[in-house]
Amino acid sequence: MASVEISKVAKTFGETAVLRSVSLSIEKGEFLTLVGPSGCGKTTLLRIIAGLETQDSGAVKIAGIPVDHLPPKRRDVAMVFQNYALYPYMTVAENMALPLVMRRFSALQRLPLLGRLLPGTTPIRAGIDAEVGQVARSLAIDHLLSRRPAQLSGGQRQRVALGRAMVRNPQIFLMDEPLSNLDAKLRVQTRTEIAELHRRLGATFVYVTHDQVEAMTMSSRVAVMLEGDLHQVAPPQEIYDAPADLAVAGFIGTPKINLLPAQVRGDGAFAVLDRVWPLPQVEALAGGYTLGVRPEAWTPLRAGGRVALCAMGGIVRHIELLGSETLVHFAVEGLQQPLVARVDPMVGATLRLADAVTFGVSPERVHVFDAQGRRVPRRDALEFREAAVG
Amino acid sequence: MSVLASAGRSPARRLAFSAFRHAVLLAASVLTLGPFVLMVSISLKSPGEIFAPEFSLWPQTWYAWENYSLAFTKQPLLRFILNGFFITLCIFTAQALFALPCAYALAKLRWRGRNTVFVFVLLGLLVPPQVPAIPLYILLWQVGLLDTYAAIILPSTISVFGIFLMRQFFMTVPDSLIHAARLDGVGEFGIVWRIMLPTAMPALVAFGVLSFIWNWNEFFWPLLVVQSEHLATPPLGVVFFANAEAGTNYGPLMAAATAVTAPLVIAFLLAQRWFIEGVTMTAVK
Amino acid sequence: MADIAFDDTRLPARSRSYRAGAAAELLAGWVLSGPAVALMWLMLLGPAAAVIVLSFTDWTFGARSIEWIGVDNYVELAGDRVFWTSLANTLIYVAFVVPVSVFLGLGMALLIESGNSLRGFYRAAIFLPVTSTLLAMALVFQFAFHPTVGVINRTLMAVGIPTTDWLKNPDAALFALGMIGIWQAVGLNMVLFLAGLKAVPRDLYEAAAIDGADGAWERFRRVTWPMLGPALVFVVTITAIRSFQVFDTVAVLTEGGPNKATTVLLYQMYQEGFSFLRSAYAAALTCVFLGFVLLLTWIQVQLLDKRTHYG
Repeated sequence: MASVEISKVAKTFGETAVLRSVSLSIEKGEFLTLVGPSGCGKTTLLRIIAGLETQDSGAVKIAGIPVDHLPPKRRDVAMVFQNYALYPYMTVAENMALPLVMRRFSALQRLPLLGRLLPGTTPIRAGIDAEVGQVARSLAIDHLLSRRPAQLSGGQRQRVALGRAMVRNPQIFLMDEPLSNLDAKLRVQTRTEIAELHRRLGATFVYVTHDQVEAMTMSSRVAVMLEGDLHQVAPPQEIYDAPADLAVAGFIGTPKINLLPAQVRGDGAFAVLDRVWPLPQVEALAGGYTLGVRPEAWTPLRAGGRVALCAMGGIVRHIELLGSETLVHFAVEGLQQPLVARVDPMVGATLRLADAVTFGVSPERVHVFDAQGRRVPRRDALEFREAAVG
Repeated sequence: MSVLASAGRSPARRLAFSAFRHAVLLAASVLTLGPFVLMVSISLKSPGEIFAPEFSLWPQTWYAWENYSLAFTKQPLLRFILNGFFITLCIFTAQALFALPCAYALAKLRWRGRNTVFVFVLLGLLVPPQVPAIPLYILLWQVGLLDTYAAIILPSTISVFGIFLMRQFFMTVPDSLIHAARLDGVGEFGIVWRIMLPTAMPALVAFGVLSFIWNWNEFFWPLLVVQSEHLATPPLGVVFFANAEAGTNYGPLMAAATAVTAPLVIAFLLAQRWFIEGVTMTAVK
Repeated sequence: MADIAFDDTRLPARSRSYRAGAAAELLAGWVLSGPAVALMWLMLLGPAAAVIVLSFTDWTFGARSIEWIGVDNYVELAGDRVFWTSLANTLIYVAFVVPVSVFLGLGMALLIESGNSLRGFYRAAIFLPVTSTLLAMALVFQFAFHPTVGVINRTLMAVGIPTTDWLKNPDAALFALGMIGIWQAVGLNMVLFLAGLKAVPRDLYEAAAIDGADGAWERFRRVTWPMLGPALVFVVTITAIRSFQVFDTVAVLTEGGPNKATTVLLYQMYQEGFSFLRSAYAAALTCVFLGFVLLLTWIQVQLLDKRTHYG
């Protein structure tokens, strides 16, 4: 268990800046997920922590000790690779034993053939075998120890990769998209297992994924990375409920958040297209803003029913039935893209294409972003502000 | 990060390793290129200088014209080289014409007999080219074709390696492409020439390079079937030359060797990537 | 036309349309592969079979009669001193060329791959002998091996190592030819190893680095060497088969001499078959040669089979 301190790390590959001055502190025993679209630099950051890549500038500390000049093996980190990187010519047991063999035997004892004849190797070997067996049992792969990776299923290989990381009891587990090669069903199951593993081991986990569901379901904190910058680091629910900027709001959440252009009028209310939305929770100066409404924040309003404070009317263009919910796409005059509302299927069933509909949203559930795309904080300032921009 | 070196080593060690790498590879390059340099060097020297007790790569007296003109006039060296081009071209054309349809049928059609034919191909791959020499020689003698271009070309017109290589390549072409062509009304021959050939171009070029190298350099078979000087392939021509000159007149001999080696070396320098890829393809065997 | 044919096969019962399609494919299959198959038998497989048959007869080239003599040719081979010499020479040649050229090829590939500068140049320089006309180069080597003015002896003399007339000394001639063979084989082996190295996934090296195997030796031993296994088997076999076929250099440089010191299987076959016109006896020699080549291939298949489940 150890903390990781990343300060002002930057990395450029040729012309492209992959990381621009990223700072992040990961606490002991935390499950931190780096999430972002492919090419955002999250894997590079993970590889810099591991020591597989050298940063151009900035520093990394593990457990308070600078590790910038240490090779990977001296950083006491374990890594699970996207393709597992199991040694195809070794059995499962040999794969899992290698990190221990490399640490516990001297260079002389590791020599092929000759090494085995040297005194003192037998008890070390027995110790390694015992530990490998123990970890294998805990992952329920002990019956596979004599097989080779090619004889295993994807899920089994994944466990072996986890096991190889676990045998060493490292301070930090680094995981690079470990679930991306599994099928959907197995992915859900393994998600739970990795979260459980984290609770059981209590070690620090740094997990990289492009899948926001993985990020939301497993982590104690999520770090959203976009184009080489950390945009927000916060617990999952906060990322969803209070995105630090438009980019985070747009990246997290499926279907995507609805965005509406707005102007603040003299009286402090927002003019949205042809409507006026009073949003008392924010204090806004006159100017251009963008409002964000999550699809599930919309509630359908019946014609002739009570008039909501914030409403938007349009024509139904498309209805997606998902079983547990229904997505209603409705076109609003003045907007290029239709808006999306997530409604109860019972409600959805009453709607037909080309119907005129009005959806309302409670003012507290409207996210307000300024012209630079930053979140406008609430008056009551209950939100964490530290998260905004690294 | 690479096979031997790892990241995070000290700059001094990295520099030392780099120096070691260049020293060894440079020495190896000198050894591999040495014979070529020596060949050209001697082809420019006078006989007196070649046998002089001191040796230098650069000729003291320029004797190139004498050596090369002697090489091209004493024996029809140009003829040998043209023979080489003519024979390799004929062989490759025939190999492609026979191999492509067969490879397509093996890769993309389902028919009774396919497995048998494929077994023939695999058997053919096992047989080194020198094995059928005696019966082929007898056959050509029977039909009176010994000492003709046909005698040199015919045994090489079929390349089981070419069939195998193209089949492996065709296997990777998606079936949907062929099905689409059939729905568009293209016949099976049309599919081979219009659909498969263009997609197989890279493999075919690589095979062409390989075929060119093999057949330009082939010595064993032409040595058996060619007696007439005017039919000689480039390597055979060099041997005729060496025999005629009793093998001691090194200047013109090296000039002839240079002339014979030049087409392949120039082609290699121009299309290095194709050469190396083509030769690496033997690894699919 | 195409439309009609299409409807015709699609509308009637399924089995019939299937049969029609199958018949068409059968026809197309044989039409497309027929010429190649015929030629294959005429030029390669037929003659190869004929060589085996011929080796059990007493036929000499041009003879009017031919008689089945069973294994007599092989019995004669067993008692033929020249045959045992040429077999031994061939095996010595292979045993010399294969390990040296495979080791050098692997070393060159590793060195080239472990740095970035001048990669292309080194690769081209070491590969160039592969494409060169061996015959012409053999004559260059003949000059290089020249006892007095050749560069090899000049160099050896300069550093004070005793020299010899390489191609005329029975103890040295085979190794001189082997050096030419190595010179030509290293480039091919290097390129094949380079291809093998390219196929090693990078993340294996990274996993090894994290697991603690990050020195040059450990990286090579834990990752590179085992991953190159199949490539190694292939390179060894292909070099061995090619070395078994050594002929060109023997024919022009030594003609099997001095005193049979460089007579190899193919050269003896050439002499028996085409100088002495003993076709059947040469056929028996060919069969022995073929047997060794097949044995090498069989060993390769056995070794690779064991490793296929590496995946």
